[in-house]
Amino acid sequence: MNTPGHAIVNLLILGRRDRRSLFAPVAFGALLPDLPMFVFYAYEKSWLKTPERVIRSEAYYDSGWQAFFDVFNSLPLLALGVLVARQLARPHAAVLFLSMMLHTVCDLALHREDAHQHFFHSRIGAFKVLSLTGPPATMAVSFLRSI
Amino acid sequence: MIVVVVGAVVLFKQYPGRGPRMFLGLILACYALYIGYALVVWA
Repeated sequence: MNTPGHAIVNLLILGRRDRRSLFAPVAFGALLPDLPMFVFYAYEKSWLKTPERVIRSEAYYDSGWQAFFDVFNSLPLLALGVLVARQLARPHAAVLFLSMMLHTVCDLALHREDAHQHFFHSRIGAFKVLSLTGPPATMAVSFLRSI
Repeated sequence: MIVVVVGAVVLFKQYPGRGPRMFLGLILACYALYIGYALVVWA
């Protein structure tokens, strides 16, 4: 699913007609997990003048960049964000984190080689979603091995 | 893609504010470009 698609799906699921003030946090939360990739692309392309082929085949898979992307796509960190926002009585911030989580959950099932570590900074942080798209038995074995 | 385009149109009707409509209009414009480009390539 592409970034505008995430925005629409999140607004349809999390948006409330009677609470229009939620539109901005839901929409921004849907875009935020992909924003680091736009920053990466703009930096590599405009600042470093990296060739397109190298950006797509090498720079994107650099561990530093991957860690930067993973922070914005980590379900444990986003859940922590929801909890902290609720504790601080910041409903819009909580909705923003929820929207980011929904984006991440959608990505969980739809990405393969370009998947992020959706359990980054947790015990199963090494688990890549790459193995989630195989047959159920393979998925289960890969998941258990990663824990 | 159909779900997203129909969803965007539904949301466009639900949210009368200027900000939401600009945002949704931008998304619909993106999809119009995607579809237009796909049609040109296909043709």
